[in-house]
Amino acid sequence: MMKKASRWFLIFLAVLLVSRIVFGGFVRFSKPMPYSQTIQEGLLFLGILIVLAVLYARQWVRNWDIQRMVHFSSGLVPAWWIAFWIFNTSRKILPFPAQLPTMQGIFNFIVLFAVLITSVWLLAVLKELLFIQRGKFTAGGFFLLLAGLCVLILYEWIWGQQDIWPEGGWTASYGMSFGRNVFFTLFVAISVLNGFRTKWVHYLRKRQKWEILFLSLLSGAAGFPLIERLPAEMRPHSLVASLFVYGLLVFWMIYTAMSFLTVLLHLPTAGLLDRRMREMSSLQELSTAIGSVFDVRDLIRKTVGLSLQVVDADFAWIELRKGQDFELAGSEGALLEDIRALPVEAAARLRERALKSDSSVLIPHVNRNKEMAAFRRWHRKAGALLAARLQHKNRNLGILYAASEKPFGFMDDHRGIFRAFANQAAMAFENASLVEASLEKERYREELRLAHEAQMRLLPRTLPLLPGLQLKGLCLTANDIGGDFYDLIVLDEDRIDLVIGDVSGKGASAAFNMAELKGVIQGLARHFREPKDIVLEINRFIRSQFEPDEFVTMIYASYRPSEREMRFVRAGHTPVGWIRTEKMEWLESGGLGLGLADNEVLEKSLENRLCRLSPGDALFFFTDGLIEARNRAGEEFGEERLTGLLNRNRGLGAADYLSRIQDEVAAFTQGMPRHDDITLVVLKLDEKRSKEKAS
Amino acid sequence: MSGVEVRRKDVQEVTVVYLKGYLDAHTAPEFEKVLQELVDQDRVNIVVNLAELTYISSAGLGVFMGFIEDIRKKGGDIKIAEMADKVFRVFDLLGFPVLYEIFKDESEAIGKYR
Repeated sequence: MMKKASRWFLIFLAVLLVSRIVFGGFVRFSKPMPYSQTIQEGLLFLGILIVLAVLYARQWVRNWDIQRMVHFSSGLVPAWWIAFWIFNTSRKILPFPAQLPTMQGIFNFIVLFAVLITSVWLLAVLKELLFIQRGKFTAGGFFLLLAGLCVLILYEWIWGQQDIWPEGGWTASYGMSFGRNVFFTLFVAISVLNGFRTKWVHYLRKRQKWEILFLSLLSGAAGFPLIERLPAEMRPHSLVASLFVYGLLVFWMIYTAMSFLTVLLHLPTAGLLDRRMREMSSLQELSTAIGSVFDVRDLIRKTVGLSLQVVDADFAWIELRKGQDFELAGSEGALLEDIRALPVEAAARLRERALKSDSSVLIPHVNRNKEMAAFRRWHRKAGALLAARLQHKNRNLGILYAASEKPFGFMDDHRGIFRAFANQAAMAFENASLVEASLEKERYREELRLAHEAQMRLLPRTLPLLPGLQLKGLCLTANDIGGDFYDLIVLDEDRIDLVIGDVSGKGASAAFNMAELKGVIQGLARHFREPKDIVLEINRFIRSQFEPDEFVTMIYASYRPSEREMRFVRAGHTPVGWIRTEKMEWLESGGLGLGLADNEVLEKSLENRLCRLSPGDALFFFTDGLIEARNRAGEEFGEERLTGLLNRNRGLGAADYLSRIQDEVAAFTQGMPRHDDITLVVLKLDEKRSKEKAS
Repeated sequence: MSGVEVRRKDVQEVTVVYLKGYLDAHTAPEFEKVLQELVDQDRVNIVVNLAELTYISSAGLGVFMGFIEDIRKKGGDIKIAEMADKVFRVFDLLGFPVLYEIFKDESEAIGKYR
């Protein structure tokens, strides 16, 4: 639309121009011009039109920053003024080229020419200033300004009184023409409208604003006398040029005045704006840090340091949550010792309020706040306080504090920015802890892998093949390593010891305890015959070497093939299943877990059991992981189910027996992860061999 | 699995600790913390109410063992009350009834301290 309008405007101007040149003689002018001058003015006007069109369409000073543009526009006019002051001391209008050129006349012409050329630059710079953060109507307004300038020139030239700017200046002829009044008033109005476009003032710093204020005053003072003087000097050379410079100067003067006023109005808030900029850049810096700082200590330093800038605080500190408590993690602007010396009750109250508050807590004047009055006795000067919780989703990570030495050092508007800052910080801390947790997890997984490996190495790799005896053992480990173990010690032809146990605790510590135990049991088996004695010695060892909360459940069994006699003690362990041909029964004798009590107490509780096996009988040993295996509904496998299972499969051989149990448990748990190891050992007497023996 | 909920209630010189849910290696520290708190405060007449405990692992049992010596040295005790049968089975297999007084009723356990 702008393009169309400008095209029609150009056509309109061209028609006017051509009619002026062609029909010059027919139109009645107040004072006709000689033809040569008409052509000269016409060409000049055309030149100005082209320059304005290019100016409108293109950016001339693309790379200039605001400061440079302002310096240029407010420096140029005083420069003109100085040039005139030097070269035209007579202050008389020199008729040129009516008289022979004098040195002064030549200089005068050069200065005027320079003014004309540089005035185009001035217009270009003004345009850029107007177009900063251009709005919907910026381009239109500027177009109107240029159009108004053209109309002003054209009217004055074609229909206006040619004797504008006589010796007496503009005022002498002012008011004599209705058309001139109308167009001039319109032009001033357009200039004022354009003058409102002073958005660039917002982007200046406080110091720059003062500078602009001073500069616009100075250039205004220089420019004011030039408004009439300059066109009057140009008038003898060219009416068009003088009107162009005149219009430009009027607009420039108005714009300078408007800028001056805008800066003046913005000065009181200039410091505030500067602070806002600092706040924003601190926030920006923190959000950058979120992506890059994963070390919590670095993050603490960064957060506390930036919080000083964000709210212009004198000192700041941060507390991070450790379980239910808060731990002072870092400070800036004050020593950690100083912060530690905070009045405890008042600090706790401040913390409590911060934890409850969705926003941040502001104590604008510590001394006037009853709750915080204790801060008065603190040896650090705290005039105003801010506190905000570091919250990620519903989890509190800590609290950030800032203090200003000045009362009212923080005002209400600080709360929002402090809140925003604390939110960013919380996110950063959450990120850091996530990274740390994933590293920790990795370490944990590695530890588990090692523990698992150790456990597997501790279990007997192959069980010895013994005549007339089927022996099968199996350990299904849980993700966490439950601490199950079993071992078989063949001591001589007529003594086979079997031990199955569960070490309390999980992971690496369980695996280490298990390894120690295995060595101890292997040694003890060679020194003692009775299971009870061995178990008592194991207990002595556990009591002296393990932690008080660590204990072991165990069945120690000793088998004599010649008598088919099994002697065993149960120390807190799950019972032994005796599977006979007709039915199965549980052998549950009394006995404390090992490590729970001293030998005196243990000895009283332990019962030696003896069971004489018949051919085809089996003994079934297991750990509690089996009956505690859970299905998806959270139901446990349980002893009853196990009893039924063992009963149903009485006739199976040891290997088949184990795999049947394994299958049934797997079918029950339906792929739920094991939360404890499951260990199964079956010892079964051959039927065949016993028949031989019997016959 | 799921976690454990530990609550305490002071009845004059006796403190009742209620456990609810699963007490295993992952959740045992929460129970430990409460017991440590009680030892620190010299409130060593303790009744642990297990009415709402659905599962206890060896690590959970270990917590009792870890504190009992200290508590008894201070002249206190841990008495256990209102266990579900399944949980009692675990205690029983391990021989805990030899080491701890176990009661059907919480008030009965509290009464033992008077």
